[in-house]
Amino acid sequence: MVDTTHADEPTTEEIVEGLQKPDESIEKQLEQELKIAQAMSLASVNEHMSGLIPRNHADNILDGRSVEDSMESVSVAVQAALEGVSTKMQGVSNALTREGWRIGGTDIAHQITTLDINGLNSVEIGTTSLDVLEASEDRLTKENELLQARNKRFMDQREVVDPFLEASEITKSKGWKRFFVGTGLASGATVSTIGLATGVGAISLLPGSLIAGGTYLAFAAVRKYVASQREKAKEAEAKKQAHYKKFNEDFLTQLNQRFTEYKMAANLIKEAGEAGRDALLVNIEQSIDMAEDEDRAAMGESLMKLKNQTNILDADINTAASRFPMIAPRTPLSESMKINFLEAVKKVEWIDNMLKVKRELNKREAIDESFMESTQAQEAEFTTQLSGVDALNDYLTNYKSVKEMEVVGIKPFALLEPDAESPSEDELLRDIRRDLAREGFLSDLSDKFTADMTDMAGLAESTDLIFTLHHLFCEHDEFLVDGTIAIPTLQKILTWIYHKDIETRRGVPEVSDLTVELVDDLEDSSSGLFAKGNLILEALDMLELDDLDKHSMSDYETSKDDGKIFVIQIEKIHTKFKKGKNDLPENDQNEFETTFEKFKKHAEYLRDITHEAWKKKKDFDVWKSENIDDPDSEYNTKNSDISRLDDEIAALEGADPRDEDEIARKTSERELLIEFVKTVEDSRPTFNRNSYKRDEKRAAEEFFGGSFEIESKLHSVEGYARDTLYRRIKGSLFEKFEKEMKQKMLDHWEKNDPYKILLALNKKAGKVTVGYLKDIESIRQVSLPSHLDQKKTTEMVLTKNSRDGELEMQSTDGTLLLHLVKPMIHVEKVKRGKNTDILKSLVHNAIIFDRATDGSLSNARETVVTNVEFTS
Amino acid sequence: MTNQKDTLENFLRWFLDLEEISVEAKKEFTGHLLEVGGFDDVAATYVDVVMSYLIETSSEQAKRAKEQLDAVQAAIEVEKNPETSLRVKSVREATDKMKDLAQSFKAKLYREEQKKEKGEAAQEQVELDTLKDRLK
Repeated sequence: MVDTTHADEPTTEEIVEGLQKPDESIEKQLEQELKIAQAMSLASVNEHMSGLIPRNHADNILDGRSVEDSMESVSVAVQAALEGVSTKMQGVSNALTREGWRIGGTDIAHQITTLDINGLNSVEIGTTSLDVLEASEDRLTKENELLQARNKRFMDQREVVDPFLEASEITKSKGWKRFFVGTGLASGATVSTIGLATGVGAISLLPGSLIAGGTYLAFAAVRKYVASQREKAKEAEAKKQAHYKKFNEDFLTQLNQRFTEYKMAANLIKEAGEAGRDALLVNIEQSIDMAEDEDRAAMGESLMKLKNQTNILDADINTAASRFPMIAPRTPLSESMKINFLEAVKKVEWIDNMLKVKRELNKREAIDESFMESTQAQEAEFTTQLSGVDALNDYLTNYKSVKEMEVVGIKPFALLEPDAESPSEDELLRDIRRDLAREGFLSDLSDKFTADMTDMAGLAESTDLIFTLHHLFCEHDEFLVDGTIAIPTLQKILTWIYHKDIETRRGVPEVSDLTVELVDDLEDSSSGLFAKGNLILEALDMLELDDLDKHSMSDYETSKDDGKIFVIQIEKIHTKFKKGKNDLPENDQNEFETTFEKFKKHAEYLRDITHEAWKKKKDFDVWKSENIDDPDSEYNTKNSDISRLDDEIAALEGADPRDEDEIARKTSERELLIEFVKTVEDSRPTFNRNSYKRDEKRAAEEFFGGSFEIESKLHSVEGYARDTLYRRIKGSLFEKFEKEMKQKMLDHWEKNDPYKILLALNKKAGKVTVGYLKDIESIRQVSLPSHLDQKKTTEMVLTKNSRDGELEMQSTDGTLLLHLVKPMIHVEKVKRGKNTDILKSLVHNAIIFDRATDGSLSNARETVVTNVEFTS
Repeated sequence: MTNQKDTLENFLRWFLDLEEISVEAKKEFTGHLLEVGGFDDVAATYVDVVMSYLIETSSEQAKRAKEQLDAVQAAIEVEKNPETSLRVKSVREATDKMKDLAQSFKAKLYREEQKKEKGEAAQEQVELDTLKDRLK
């Protein structure tokens, strides 16, 4: 608002008009200058106050600045305007100062002040800030109404057309700006701002700008865009189909490959199982043959029980197997061993007969005592039907002993691992001697193993420790399991052998595979050689007429032919390996030839002696037919032979040089003849056919005097084989230990394929239901298969989770330790009604141990744990 | 069905009357509608693009106009208050400046008068001394 208090004062125009009138007096002139200066300063102030400042203020507001900020900004302009006034007035004041005294200084000053203030107050500010702002308000109000209406129109139309856009299944365009070329959008925005600032309608300018600029594209670009999008979608779909097709093909290939591997693994398991069962069958029967009577009874009972059961539990198999420590030194058996054992037992035919007896016995027990006599008679009838099990017959006749049989536990063999540092040989020998020499042991042992102990005493003094160990392990292995050799000593033995093995491997050239294979083959033939050789000796020993007539003859003939066949076999082996001989190092080539020659020599020798024996057999037949009815003639002949031998021996003893071997042989032959003659003389009073048979046998032995020679030479062959064996043991004993001892105890997780175990379990139980572990990281509870003879559910705590997937858990009470090793994803198809599901199992081979209070582990049992997820 | 057709036709008429769309684009768009004999994905995409542009730009403009209007109205309220008025403040500052200027001028004039009076007194003393010398 303008202050009008001094409205009667002259206006600026009036002052300027008055100044244009000339005045000659100095006072008048000065006064005019003063008024001009005042007018100019006031005009300057007015210019700022009524024009620029309000408009700048309004611009600031429209630009979005706050009112306070804008006032702060324009006050600078006000100050600048006032400075201009001050400058102008300063110029006037200098002039006035010079002449001011002439017109009265105080009056002038009062006049200036009054004029300034009045003049300022009287300034007509044409357009105030309020005016400018109110003018903008009016314009903006109208413009806003138009813009809101326009916007609403667009929105309404959009609402109208949206159903059609949605029906066409287009994607609402967020990137519509791509359809505008160049700077069309930016220029539109700029024009809009200028329009607002200048008060000209932005709406009218906006479309005009877009059309005039030609920058608004549109339809052609959109059509091209949609076409390209369709093409892209088509390509993406084709790519996706190709990807899925390839994925399916790869997956099927992998699946088929995996199934093929599983089939092969299953076949291997099947073959290994059949071989294992056959071997077990032999071992079971041998174990029974070799067992003491009491043990034999327990064995038979356990096998009968097993075979008689319809629902066989794992505990039953383990109990039966525990009767056979040679086969199962440690129970519970592994899964594969259980199956093999059970299948082998099923093949033992005579158990069926025994079972008949046993069942019959059970029936008889229920019958009244009055029928007992007839029952026993029938029982005797059954028992006499059994052949080859005489020892068991005694036992079976005693029904009570069957009932009272007890299971004898087998001492578990502790798990041993070689230590990091090897004991010294002295230390090891000292410990072995200490164990063997414990109180009372040596004397007991000497009664049983006098000869062996003599050997051992010598060996123990030997500096060749490996020979001592070899002897210990080959001849007295019972010491290793019966506690004679203490566990710490066993630990030291294993450790020493383990380190010796490493040392030997490092220092001794490795024997080539070819050589090892050759020696293996030759030794296999050699063992056959020995077996047949022994058969020949047995045949010679069984030269009783009846036996010879029945079966020994055929064996004898076979042996004769075998002698030839051996030579052929060994020559074949030689031919086979000769092809690869040149690939061997020179030393091995020599070894190869030497070995071959030795074996060939022995084979040929056996061939010759069998042939010789065969010829003698023919001669004996003739001899027998000629002399069988005239023992006196034989008696006389023998006496003549004794006289002849006396002469020959005397001649040999007088010869130079003396043939000591021949003297010994003839002396021995003479002694036999003397014994024969003496026997004939002794038996003459009661001579009969039977006693004659015995004499005939002795006569046959005399006739086959060469048989002693054969036997001794066969022993020399065996001696060579032992020699060879020793050499091989010296080179590979450690390796054998590593394989046979360490792996025997640890191969649960070293070799067993979890899937094979799973197959074995499945084969046995049909479907193994084991703990389903939902999340391997959160295992806290494991349901154990029932065949482990363990609590069905045991709380477990995860104690180890190594990066290679090996897990270790122990039960909360600390008595069980569970190893989960070698996780393997197993995938197979499972038919579920009409659908086929993919079954994915995470299979872990697992070993469960018992843990004693001192922390030691024992009684390892195999199992399998899986977590199973079904996906369609 | 007829209603839908009418609705779409009405919309297209309105759409083709928009000044914001160039004549060339309108020709192409109409030609496409006649070519395909209906409202297909291409046409829908075009309408969607144009409408998206128009709505976004007009919304921005309307929003800005409203903000400006609100700001101006707030500034008017401030200017109507004498305590906060820019004009009142400016006049007050100018008045103070004039008073300072006048006071400064009066001080300067006073100093000049003092200076002249001293000069005249000294001159009178010189003349008086000269007269005295002459009188001796």
